Amino acid sequence: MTPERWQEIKLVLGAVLERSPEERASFLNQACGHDELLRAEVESLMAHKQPGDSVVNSLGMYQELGALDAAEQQGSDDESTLESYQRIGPYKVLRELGHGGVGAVYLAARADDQYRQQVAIKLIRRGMDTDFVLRRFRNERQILAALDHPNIARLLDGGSTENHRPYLVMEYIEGVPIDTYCDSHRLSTEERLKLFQQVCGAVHYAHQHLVIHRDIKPSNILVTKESAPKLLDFGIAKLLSPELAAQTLDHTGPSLRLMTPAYASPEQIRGQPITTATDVYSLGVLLYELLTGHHPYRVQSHVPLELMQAVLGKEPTRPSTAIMTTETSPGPDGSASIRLTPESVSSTREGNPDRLRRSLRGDLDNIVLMALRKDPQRRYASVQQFSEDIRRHLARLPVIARGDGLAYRTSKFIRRNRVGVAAATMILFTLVGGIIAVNQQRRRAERRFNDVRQLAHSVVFDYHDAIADLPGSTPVRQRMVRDALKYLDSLASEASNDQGLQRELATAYRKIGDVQGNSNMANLGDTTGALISYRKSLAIRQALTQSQPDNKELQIELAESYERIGDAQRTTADVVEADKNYQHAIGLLEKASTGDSSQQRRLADLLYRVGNLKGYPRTANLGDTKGALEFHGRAQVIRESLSAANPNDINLRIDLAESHRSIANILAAASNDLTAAEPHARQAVSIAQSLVSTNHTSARTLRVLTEAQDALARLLMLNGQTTGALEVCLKSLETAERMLAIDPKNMQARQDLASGHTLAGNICTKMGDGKNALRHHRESLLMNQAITADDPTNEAAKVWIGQNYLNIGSAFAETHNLQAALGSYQQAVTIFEGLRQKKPGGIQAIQFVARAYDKLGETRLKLGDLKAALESLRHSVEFAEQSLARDSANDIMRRLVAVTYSNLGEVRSRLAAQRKAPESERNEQWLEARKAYQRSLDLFLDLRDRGVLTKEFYDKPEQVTLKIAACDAALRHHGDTIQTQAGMR
Amino acid sequence: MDAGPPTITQLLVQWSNGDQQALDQLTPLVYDELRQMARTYLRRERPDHTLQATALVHEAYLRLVDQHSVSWQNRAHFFGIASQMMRRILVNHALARATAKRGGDAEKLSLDEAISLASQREVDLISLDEALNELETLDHKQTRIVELRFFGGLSIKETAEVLKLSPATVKREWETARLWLRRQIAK
Repeated sequence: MTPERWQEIKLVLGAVLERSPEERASFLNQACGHDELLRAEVESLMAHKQPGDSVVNSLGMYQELGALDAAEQQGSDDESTLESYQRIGPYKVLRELGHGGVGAVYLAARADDQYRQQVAIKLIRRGMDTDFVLRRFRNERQILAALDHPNIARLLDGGSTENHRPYLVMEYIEGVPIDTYCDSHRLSTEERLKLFQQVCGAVHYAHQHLVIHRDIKPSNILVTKESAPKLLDFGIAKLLSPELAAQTLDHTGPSLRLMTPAYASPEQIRGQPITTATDVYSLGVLLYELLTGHHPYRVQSHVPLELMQAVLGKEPTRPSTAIMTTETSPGPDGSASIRLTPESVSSTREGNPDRLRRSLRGDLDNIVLMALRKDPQRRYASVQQFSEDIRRHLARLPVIARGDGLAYRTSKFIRRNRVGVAAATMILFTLVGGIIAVNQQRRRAERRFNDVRQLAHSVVFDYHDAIADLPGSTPVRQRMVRDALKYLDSLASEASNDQGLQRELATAYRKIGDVQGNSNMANLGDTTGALISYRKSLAIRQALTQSQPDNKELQIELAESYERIGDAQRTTADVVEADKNYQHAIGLLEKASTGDSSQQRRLADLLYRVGNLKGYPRTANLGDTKGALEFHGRAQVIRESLSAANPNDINLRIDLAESHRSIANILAAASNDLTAAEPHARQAVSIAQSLVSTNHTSARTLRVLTEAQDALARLLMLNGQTTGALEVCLKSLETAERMLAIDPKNMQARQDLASGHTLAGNICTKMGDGKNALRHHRESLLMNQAITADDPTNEAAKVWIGQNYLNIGSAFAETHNLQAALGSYQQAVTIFEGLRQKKPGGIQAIQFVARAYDKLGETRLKLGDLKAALESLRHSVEFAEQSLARDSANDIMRRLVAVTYSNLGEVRSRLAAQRKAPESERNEQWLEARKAYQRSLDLFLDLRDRGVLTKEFYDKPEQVTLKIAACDAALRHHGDTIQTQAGMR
Repeated sequence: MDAGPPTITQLLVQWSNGDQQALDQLTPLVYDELRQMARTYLRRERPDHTLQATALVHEAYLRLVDQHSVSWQNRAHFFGIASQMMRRILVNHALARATAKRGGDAEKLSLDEAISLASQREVDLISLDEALNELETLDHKQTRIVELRFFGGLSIKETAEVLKLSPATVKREWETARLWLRRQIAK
């Protein structure tokens, strides 16, 4: 291509782009005339207009070339003024309060005038509204909204405008910046300190909630008419900066976009981890300014680089010295300078320079400089400690910050104790560091003891939970666990003779195991790692119980380790080992739990779990129905006596109802003893019913009730009592509806409702009521579709939708509407194929695909569309064989395949019987039909020999044998014909 | 204070006012800073470093320039030179990393070989750079527009200011250049 040619192409291309898609073709005809090559070029370029093409989509640049445009479009309203924002969400904008790096701030009120409360709304600038930020936004908002402190402006709400710009709604504070307030009220040093302490209280509160402010400065602290300081924008800096967010995760990457250089700490400038010590530093700058009127560093300009160099390299002047100097500081807009003299700064403070100097010299110099140390580890370990030192100063007590020597030793000590942490995360640094420093007076053993406790309890555990829902937090969570384990391992090797510490260590290992892979809570899905940690905890506890065999508490803790190991093994379906470990736990608790009702309850839980492990239908189990019933029986006895002793404890009654329900299900499904099962199911229903009707109506009790009713309905259906089954089932649906009414977003209730309708549909089918069956299956489908619409990631609901279509297809087939059945089965095939392709290894999807194709083929066979039927059935057997090859123990699948092969034989023999086909083809079809029937027969016989063939299929082997005989006869006949034909030639 | 060498801010204002000498003085200052920042940044191997490139340029601007005394046009000019530098820094880095993987035989490494050794991300960057080089032979103006938009993160309006074009022209040129680049990259 030549530059000239490109100019031509570009001209036409640009013009085409400006036209609407409908006009483009005719314009292109006109513009290109006979120049076919020009036209081809333009069209080939236009083909790259739509991103999403799978071939080129793998190239990141390709997408990014488009990403800029999205930002541009959203930014087009950036220059727009207030007029375009008369409303933000449900708020009416009253006026603009200010404009900052992050965006504009407006004063607003709720548009519905429901509350006349005025609020401040921060509207976020364009470019900050990437998906990533928006997701963070939602997560963080909850954390920030939970900050409830009299000196913190509350985050009230948040959302995004119609053009997707996120906004934050905050309590509107009428007040003046803290520095202006102090000066205009001519507050003395002592008064300033007291006000400052209130600020510290608020920051400390936030730190306890794991929120770091990151941008503390006078304009973010307003003092109200009631003289109360209020901190604004807590955690907002982090919320709005993807770089900063990433920084907390892998603490890398410098970013200055959202901090104010004059108050930024050295670590912020260097792009190092941000910790609570960062806020200590910024508070130090603030205190410096409040006390002296000067900035800690002499800066001549507003150029951030110079300021930053000073923050990194210069030592701040002592406050008592700074006030005696004269300084011309640049004004806020670079022109009008402010002249600071000893007289000017003291006039708004202590009156004269000497008094001011005396108030600052000594303690306050030391306190402020300690907060301003370059090395975060050498500052105050916490804001609370900082504030406490001010209190001590005000009370004329000796302060921590007196000499550098002692403080330096403290920090050395901190570092010494961090050897085990090697590459610890910033989280560990801050919190553990803080704890160590606070406890520095105590004995070494006790200190370490607290380290472990702190580490296990709050650092890993709470912090992990706090960040577990954040997208992309997995790497840092993994790292936290890795570091914590390193730390624990080093402590374990040192502290073998300290039993108290050993005990805490075991607990810490257990908690880490939970974080790694306890499926009952947010975890990292690392079951193997969890097992290792649990085993470490077990080993310690075993040693401890051996040395103190009579210590009940130790035995209970040992039982806990066994229990956790069992839980982990259960999630990996290692039922044999899980059973063993649970039994160990049971053995220990049986001795240790006497007289302790909470441990008795745990014992019953374990017995219940073992019961399920041994033989709860439709889950991975040991196939030991007798054992299952025995353990469930023991659990039931304990639960009954506990419940009798504490009749008002609804949890115990819920437990008891669940025992009865499980026993009913096991009796019904596994041992087929419907008569014995029914009383248990009824008992479960009755307990749950009484809970619900005696003021304990909650989502939980309703769920127990609907499950019990569901179990009873299933049981009655299996027992042929379809009318009774339907009645109970409809009640169960009613219960689920109530659950949903209490909490319309309750996913569990929706799922229960969907599965309840499926059961009702199945019962109707049994009753021969195809019309109502169809209605229930459709209800279930609608519910499942609603579930996936709300949560597109819910894969399970997609499986149910596929099953709904299968059921709907069957209901249509029952009512002889084969065309409609065909459509439903096709839908089912599409859905299951989609799932299978998404998860190529998933066996469940393969099984469902096989089933759906089988139904589709069967219906096509009934409709007489043999070619299409053949195709579907061949797909079905292909997937069914795949699934059997991987899960040979699945007899339900085996039966399905047997039926499918017999259908396949049927299709083949009917194709073979068609006279218009050539002889050789027909012969081939007979052979294939025979093969299919033979495979079907083998499978049926295998099932019947092992006694697992149900009644309705019992005669199948004989029927199939007859078919094979028919094939053989046809083949002999054809063989003769072919030979005859050959002979005639 | 006035005795010292002119600050980056002053140079920027002078250059925007048409002083070409100011640009000569400005360029090495900005380049050094950018390269240093980019080095710290790239060492961390962030997978998303091209979009971060615009953030880096932005950050360099915040660090070097007193925003109280410049206009948005000055800002656009700063970004104008920084974006070109950023492109070189990023592509050099990608190639260097590819070379390092191969064992440091830098001189003999052809671009094809480099690509085969680089990560997907770097391949993208290298292929974008390649495509831009080809576009350069066809249309210099468009290449500049892509640099400003892609590596500098400038808006249409800002790009128009730097290149002294109308925003409508910039928009049209950007859109057609983008289609051409996409086709080139996809080849």
